[in-house]
Amino acid sequence: MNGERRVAVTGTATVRARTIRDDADPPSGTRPAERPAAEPSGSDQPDPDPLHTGSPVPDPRQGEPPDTSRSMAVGAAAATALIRLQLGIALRTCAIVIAVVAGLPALLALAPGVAHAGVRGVPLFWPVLVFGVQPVWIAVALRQLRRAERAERELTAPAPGRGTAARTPRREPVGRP
Amino acid sequence: MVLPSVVDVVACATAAGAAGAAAGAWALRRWRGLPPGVARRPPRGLPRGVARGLARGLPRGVARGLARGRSRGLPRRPPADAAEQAAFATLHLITRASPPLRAGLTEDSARKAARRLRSLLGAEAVALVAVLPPSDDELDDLDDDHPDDDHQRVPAAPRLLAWDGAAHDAHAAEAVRDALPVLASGRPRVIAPELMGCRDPLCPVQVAMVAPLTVEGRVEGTLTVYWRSPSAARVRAVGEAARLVTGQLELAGLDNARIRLAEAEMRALRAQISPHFVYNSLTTIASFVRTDPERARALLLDFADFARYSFRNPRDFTTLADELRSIDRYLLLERARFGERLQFRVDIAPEVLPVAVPFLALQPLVENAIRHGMQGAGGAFHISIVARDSGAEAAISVEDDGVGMDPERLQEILSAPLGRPGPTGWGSVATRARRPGGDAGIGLANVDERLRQVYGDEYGLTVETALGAGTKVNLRVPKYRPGVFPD
Amino acid sequence: MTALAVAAALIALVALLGTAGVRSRRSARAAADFQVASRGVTPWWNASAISGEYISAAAFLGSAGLVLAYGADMLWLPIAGTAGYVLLLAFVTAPLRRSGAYSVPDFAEWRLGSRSVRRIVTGCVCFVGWFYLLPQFRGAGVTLRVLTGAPVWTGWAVVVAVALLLAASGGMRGITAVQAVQFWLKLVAVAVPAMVLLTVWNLAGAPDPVGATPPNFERATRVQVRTAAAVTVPAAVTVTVRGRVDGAVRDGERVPLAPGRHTIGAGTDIRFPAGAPVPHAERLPVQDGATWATPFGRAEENGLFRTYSALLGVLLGTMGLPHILMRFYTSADGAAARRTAALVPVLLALFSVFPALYGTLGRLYAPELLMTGDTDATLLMLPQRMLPGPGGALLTGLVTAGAFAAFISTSCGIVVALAGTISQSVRRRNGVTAFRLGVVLALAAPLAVLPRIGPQGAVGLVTMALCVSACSLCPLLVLGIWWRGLTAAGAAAGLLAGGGFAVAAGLARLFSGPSAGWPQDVLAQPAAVVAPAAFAVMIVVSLLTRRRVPRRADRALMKLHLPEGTPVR
Repeated sequence: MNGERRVAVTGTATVRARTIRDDADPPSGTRPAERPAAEPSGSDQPDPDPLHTGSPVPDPRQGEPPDTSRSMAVGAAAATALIRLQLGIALRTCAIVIAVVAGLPALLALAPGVAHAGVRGVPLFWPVLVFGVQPVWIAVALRQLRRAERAERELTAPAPGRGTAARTPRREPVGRP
Repeated sequence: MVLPSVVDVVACATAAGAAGAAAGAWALRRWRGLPPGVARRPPRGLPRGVARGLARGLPRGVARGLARGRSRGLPRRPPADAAEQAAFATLHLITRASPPLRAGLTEDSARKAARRLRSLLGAEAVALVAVLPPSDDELDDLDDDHPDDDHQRVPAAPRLLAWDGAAHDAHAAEAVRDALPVLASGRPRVIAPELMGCRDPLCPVQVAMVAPLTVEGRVEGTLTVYWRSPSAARVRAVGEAARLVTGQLELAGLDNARIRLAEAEMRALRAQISPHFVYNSLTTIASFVRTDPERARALLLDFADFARYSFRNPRDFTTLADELRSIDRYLLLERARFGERLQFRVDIAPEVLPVAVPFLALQPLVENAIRHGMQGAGGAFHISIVARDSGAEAAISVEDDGVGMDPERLQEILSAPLGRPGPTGWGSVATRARRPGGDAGIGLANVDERLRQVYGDEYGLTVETALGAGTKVNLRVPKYRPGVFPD
Repeated sequence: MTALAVAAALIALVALLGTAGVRSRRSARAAADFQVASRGVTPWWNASAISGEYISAAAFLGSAGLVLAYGADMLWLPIAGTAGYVLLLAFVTAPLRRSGAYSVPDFAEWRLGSRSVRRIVTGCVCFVGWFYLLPQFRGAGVTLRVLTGAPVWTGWAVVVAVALLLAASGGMRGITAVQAVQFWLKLVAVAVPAMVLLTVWNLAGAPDPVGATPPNFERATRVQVRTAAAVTVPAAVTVTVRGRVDGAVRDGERVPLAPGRHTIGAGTDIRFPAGAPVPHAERLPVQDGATWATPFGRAEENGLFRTYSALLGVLLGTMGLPHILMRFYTSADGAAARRTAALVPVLLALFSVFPALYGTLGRLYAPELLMTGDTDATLLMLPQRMLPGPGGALLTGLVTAGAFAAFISTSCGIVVALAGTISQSVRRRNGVTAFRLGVVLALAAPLAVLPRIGPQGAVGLVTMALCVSACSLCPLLVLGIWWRGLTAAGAAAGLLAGGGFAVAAGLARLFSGPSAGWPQDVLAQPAAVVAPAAFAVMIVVSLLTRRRVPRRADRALMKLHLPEGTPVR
């Protein structure tokens, strides 16, 4: 669009010339594709309040004081308790994982009879290893997720204040738009 | 790879492990120190040696050494005579003693400094006493708020920050008591053996010399040095050491002042953003009240959101996502005013949305583009905001096709002499002169300044512009920098 | 025809990834789009990208080959890999995201406030990445060699070219989307042929893949040996040879091979009659059906230890993979990161069924791979073997696209992670220059080593990388996140001890052949010994340097574990 030359300026006093690409600047070059912009005359019915459509919170802001943090302040003792709790949850998960991962090989190695057991020539443990263990991991992962999230919710929203509790997990729900 | 940690391990293991062994080692060193000729540290002549080295041998030796190193590429060559050697050793000790205190007078820095000062002076023990409120978070990063108010109320009492050397058990308790008169008077003091009242004839701590640490006319603490016997040279050496410490503390004070000034300007910027904008927005909204009350309400809410973001967040960092959201509100309000004339395009790599950016690092750039770029231009005005992922950094640019700026003029604004790192570090950032009509670059200059301050000099803005050719502002934000979190 | 299908598949792959990359950048022109533009990467999408990066050449090609060669003993690895993500979810993700660290060295510096620990961690990250790149290069080489007969280095060149392209484009345009798309591509590329081949197998009367004897050639088969090899012949067989066997040059003569060891020259053509027992490459065990199908069936010396050690290495190593950890930075906050991590096992479980299937079918239909030793190519060979004609070629093209997606996504992930980490430590330079420098460094080290290492399966190399990570980065992360008492000295000592030994063991294993006995077993799978030792060293040294616990440890721990934006009183 404009064939002028711009000059690059940085604070450290280096000035270098910059030639502009001939196919014009991105802002102006993309113009034809643009959607009609909102007009001051008020013909923008389909997009009345774009800011708030994205937020799953209905509109609780109106009644709130201007500065609400997401939750109540947390004391150091409560924080330590949360860390302990989370560690407990994580360790329990870890115990399950270790039990399975350590238990299965031990069972198969120390009791060869189990390893050889089979139906019609197909050793029974083959399908167990291929199909059986992965669902356990999925279940354990979901259990861990639920417990950890609940622990956090209970910390940050101890009171029955639903309004604040509803906001904590408000990031995108699982699922791809 | 450097392995100081292993050394630390050993050091700490011995320190924590055996006080008895440490005492034994001390005895050993003292015993070995007794034969006069063999002593490795100059027993008595040290201060004089230092003085002589500093006065004569040192400048020549340093100059010669530097010249040699440069001309022949020989980095190291043993100095010719003993005086030079002593001078180098002393210089080394001095340079090592200085840095810790640059962080201010804290227990941590005092502990390190005391150790180094003791080896510099060759004294039996060194104590640092300070009149400071107890503080825990000097070392904490920017991500902490500054709840200093609580600390201010703690009564300032002199306390022993560090004791390095022998006889900690016997004399450390008296260090504060001995320092009190000096703290009150601001004059150095020598405490004779009789006054020390040490009954143990073998105790190495017989004489104490207390020098005040006076920063900007206030006695902030004392440096107490303990010897086996007094001498005039030692008194002088202690005085010099106190001056060295004072110098470092003054620099630390300057650092603090600089940070406080930057904060002040930050607040000023936040307050300054709006006057025009507030007026314009409210006028625009008012014009909708009758024709389109729904829209007026929505805009008013946007305005409230925008203001809340601008004023509320007391912390210095936010995420790119939040900053973009604020820009969105800003653009909505401006669009209500300019309508079809203002066109924008936003192109964001989702990967960089969580990147921590200084609070209000982008919004002023957009505001600047609109306020300045739209001046006098009649046609449509395009602005495009692009954020890309580029390895360990995010590359962000704000581009418009407005009237542009005179590069030299902009250069002048951006590199105003104040606030540049000068020979003594950062200058003040707050006193940039505001020229009449030179409003355009102030937002840019401020953002530039803050980026450089937070991330280092190589992360300043790069502006590509010319009169009539629009403007493109580029900035880079590292995804991680110590102490930078959207907390 | 196969070559044509392969070429078409590669072109389609490139086109697909290009589209994904361009489309993923969120553009907004109208106000409503702005909300979309400033929305982060969703957990589901990010989990796909993570799985995409994790399913490397090793998982895609290698595990099927391992099942073919070793049987049931290799079913543990996918299990441990998925379990590793469960532990990652439990111990690391949310806190790591909350720390705001981009890379593991960032985390170490932030938590411990020590530049030297940072440097050590950077070293560990580099070694993990380099070890992890090796199998990607090898996999690419094997794939191209098996499919087109090109020399191995062409495969390496492809990977290098892609990585350099990435660096030259100044970063990663829409890399999350590209990685996520590649995961689903890989899943399709492995699942669709599996369904077809299973149907074929069923139609053929569902022959028993296990069998009572070592594998046989089902029908008369011609095997081309490209590189000189030594093989074990399990039972006497008479073959037609064109080339060099046991040092003698033959030209289409019938040669009886007695049971035992034989050497075959490069470029030799051997024709086996139907039902002939398959000679095995020297390093692979000859197993009858029952042994193959039974865990610990071979009654190996220290088999249980090796299994446990490999499992532990994979389990803990998954926690410290730098390219995976870096992906969590893309999540909006700690909670989103945690959800992301919880979804990964679901995706990996979908994938993990297939290697066993292909390995089993391979024993039936592509047993000559046991002879050439190219077991990594099982997946690539099967479609042509079971379904000669255009259908097979089509499936081969699909599998090839998946295989290349596997090399490219994992290598790009690692190269980006390494380059990002390295560029952070050369701060003087301009960001883009530093990043490019990092890319070159990340590629140069494995390329220098690659021509010098002996024959190694892709999975073996990956377990090595995981082992280094398990012995160095994993203890650092776990202790740094959960224990306030960790000191810089402790972390450094543990990293040097654990990481150092693991790297040394890895190098020793790279440059020496496989062998047996306790010391060799420990050297081959050091995780069970070294990882606990690294934990112990970190804890003990930290306790010894108790006075040096960083003063901000408590606040750091709070920041790690409290949800973002929770004010602390």
